[in-house]
Amino acid sequence: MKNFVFVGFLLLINIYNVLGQCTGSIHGHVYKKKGKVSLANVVAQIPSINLETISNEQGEFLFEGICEGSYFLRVFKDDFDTLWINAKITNKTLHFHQDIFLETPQEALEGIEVLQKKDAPISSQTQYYLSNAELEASRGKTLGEMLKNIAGVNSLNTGGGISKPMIHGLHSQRVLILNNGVRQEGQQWGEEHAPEIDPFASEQVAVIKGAAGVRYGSDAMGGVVVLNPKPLTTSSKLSGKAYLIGHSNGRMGNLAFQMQKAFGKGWAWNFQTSTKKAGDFHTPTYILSNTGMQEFNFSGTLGYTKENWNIQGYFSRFDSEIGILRASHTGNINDLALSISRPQPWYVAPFTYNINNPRQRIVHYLGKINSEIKLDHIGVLSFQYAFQDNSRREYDIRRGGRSNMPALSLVLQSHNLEAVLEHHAWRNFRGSFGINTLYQTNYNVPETGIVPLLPNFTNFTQGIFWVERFIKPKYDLEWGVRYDYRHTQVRTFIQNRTYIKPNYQFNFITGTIGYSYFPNDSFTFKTNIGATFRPPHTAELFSQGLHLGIGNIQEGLLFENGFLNSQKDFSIEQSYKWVASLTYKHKNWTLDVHPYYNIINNFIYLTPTDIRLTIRGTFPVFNYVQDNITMQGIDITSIYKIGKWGWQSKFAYLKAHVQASKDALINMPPLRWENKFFFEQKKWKSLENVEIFATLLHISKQSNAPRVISPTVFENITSEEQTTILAGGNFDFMEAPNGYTILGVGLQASYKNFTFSSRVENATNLVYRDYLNRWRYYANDLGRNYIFQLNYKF
Amino acid sequence: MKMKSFNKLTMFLLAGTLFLGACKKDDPAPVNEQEVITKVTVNFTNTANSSEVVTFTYEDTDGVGGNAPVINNGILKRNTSYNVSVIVTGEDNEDITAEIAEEKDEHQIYFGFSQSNLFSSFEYSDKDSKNQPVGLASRVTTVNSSGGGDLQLILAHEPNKSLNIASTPWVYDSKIGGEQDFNITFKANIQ
Repeated sequence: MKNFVFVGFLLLINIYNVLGQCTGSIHGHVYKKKGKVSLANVVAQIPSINLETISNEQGEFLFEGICEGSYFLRVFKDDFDTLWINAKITNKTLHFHQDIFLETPQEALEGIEVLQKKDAPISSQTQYYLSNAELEASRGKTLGEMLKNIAGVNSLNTGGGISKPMIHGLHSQRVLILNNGVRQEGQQWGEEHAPEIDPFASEQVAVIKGAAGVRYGSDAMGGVVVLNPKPLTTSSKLSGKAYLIGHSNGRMGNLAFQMQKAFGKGWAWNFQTSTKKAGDFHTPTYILSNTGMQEFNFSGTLGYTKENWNIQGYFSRFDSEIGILRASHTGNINDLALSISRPQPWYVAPFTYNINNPRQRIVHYLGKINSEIKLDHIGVLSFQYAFQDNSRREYDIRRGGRSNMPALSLVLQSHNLEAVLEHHAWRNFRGSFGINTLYQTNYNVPETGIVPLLPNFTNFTQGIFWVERFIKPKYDLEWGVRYDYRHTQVRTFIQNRTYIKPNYQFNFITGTIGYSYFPNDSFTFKTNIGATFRPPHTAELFSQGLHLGIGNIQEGLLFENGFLNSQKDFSIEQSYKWVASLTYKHKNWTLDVHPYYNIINNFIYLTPTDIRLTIRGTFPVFNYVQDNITMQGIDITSIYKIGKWGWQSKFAYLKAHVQASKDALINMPPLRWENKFFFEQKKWKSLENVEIFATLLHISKQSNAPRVISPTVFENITSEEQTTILAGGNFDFMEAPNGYTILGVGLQASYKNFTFSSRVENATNLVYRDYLNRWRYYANDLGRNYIFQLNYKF
Repeated sequence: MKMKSFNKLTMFLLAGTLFLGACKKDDPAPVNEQEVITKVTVNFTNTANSSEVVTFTYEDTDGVGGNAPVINNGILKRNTSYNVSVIVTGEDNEDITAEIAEEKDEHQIYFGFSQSNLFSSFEYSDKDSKNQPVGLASRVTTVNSSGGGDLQLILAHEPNKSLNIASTPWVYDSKIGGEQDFNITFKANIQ
């Protein structure tokens, strides 16, 4: 009967056609939102004129002979949410077309929970998100500390204020931070250089633990930290959030707020700012003098969205000043020896908010403009241009009134240009092509009166990539390839003040292959192998200097016996990383098991090569050298709930060694096991989302650490002793600190628009040192810390 | 309309690439190190005969670089009293002694020696504003036997001088802190 009516209408339309009245058409291409695969047998109706059709095998449907006017289309299929679409046929636009994405109710729910989970750039790698609760609870902390919520992620700390994210033991130039879609370009090479990012600006924080070099280039070999702000709102009502946070340790205060609004036709803006002030932090028994910090950051977006394209401009400024523990500023190895022997640092003063030398002052600007164009039948084309200006000044304790002059003053400017085409499914294939260009200059501001640690350089990188997936309902196959060209020019002086401008060119190919299997709703298996090649950073090639605080001389790959040879041979680092993730969800239990195996050939790392007598004393010399290494480990996350009670457990273990010598690598994360026990009550009197919890974090002693050579042996060292020390490979000046277990407790509740939480960290005020804290030679780690947090949403 | 905005975007992106070429920095100038100590000279002047001067020098022109320091050791007379002066020099013969004298409250030169083999007595002859020693000038008496031993000099920056050992204020003790700007050892002979 229905068909009869339909045929009747067609006849009617044909008549109109003959009369030359109605020649418009409405064409749709229906995709499944998840996977962007074409959907056949989707019903499309125009109820007002009683038309109905279904999509063909390619997911397309067509109504012809439509008169001018405005129509509402209803598009639906079993198991998917029904969609209404407005189509206008005018004499100018007779042929209406739209790509239509249907989603299942389940997907829609997930989307609400953590904004919209974006597709991982490489789908066979799991993107691990911080849950909303974890994100909110770690507000006010450094990015590195925040990311520790994800198993397998650690941070390499320099005291309480500087922390670098570490994924599976790799950090700095081997981990990419993607801030609002832009690769963060700062002075990542320094172990005491934290990422110049305001964590308050991110509403979505995720980590990719696999090698994503294919999509982002060489520095994504160890993984990617993905930070995204809230997407622009479509609501014309002003909304936002405010935070007030206080920490007892360091008497730290945070104030942050964020707001957004849509206006006009398709316009929207958002703005966010945060400020932080902390004084000296303290251990259970003494003050860590000169460890205060302050920050003031802001960012804003203005965007314009039309049906088929959008454009956004973004600007942010990050400004931070961080004090460096006074007692960690050492002149030579004897100072280090004395520091290790002392029960507490030699300099302990009463609490103050003042930040004195040594200190760091960092200002980072990011400006970007990006646009997306939806191309019917093809996919989405996006462009992005980003500019970053990073200024880092480090102040030391100096003689002759020079303390106001920075000892290091670097300006790094980076331009990034990217164009990516993400194509919709064609048969069972889906993927993206793209190019990205990076141009950067590193410049030493001549205000230091010190020979720079890192020379001036310019760096140009051009990359082109292609990632493609073959999608089936129960499995995906994925492969990708990337080609990079890099040109680096360094401008520096060699020993006798001769000016040199060596050039280096690199051509390298990166590849990935992956497989995902999802037989049912409760089980997912993903595995991926990524090959990433990375040319050495200029710092790894050219840096030379005395490392205050670590008591050694560090020299780049191009140094031979203390002399620079810019023609010296070196190799590109080649990493092969295999990751797998098995996720199992059953009723109250979620389990994620994530093993990995990473081989890095020509891995660049510091190892002792000489012992050198200078006017400042005797120093071990650590050179960057290259060796093949192996890293293997496993991360496990489990969440189990019974009624209102829950237990969350995160375990991570890594073992790393140099292949030939079997030597351990320094600063590799020890075994970490974190447990959280919680009780949740959705509603209690007028309070909502009441939660009480306790956390127990266990860090084992790093048993796989390099041998220990006490710094005292260097003072009157004989040449035989020197030979013995140097023959034995890598060493550390101090034994790895003992393992420890710390307890935390807390509670949280919401009342109307307010959320209040209160926590105690290191509740037992345990005295401990952490292997991944570079101040472990000088001082104990942080003592008990009470945190109070108040959020207001409007 | 759609095409127009696309063109605008292209223009913007092109403008961005043009900007790339615009910020190339000029060639850098070599840096004159203002602070690095390259040479320490220790003069021993016989208190009885001011024309009799024994000089020790320790020179390291390339700092942390690969060249070994050049050390000149002197020979002192037994049972003799000397006025000791320390002269500190930087790159291009920069006078760092004056800087130390100016910031005398924040500096002290500590001396390491054996009281039985080298100096039987030691006293500082200069004082800072808090009546604590500085060490640019001092007076020693050599032991009354030939031989000699190691003579170590440490320039500490921002030491806590109040923690100096009262009986032997020239001995650098771990509690004193600060950073060591130089730490050099001579072989002093006594004849």
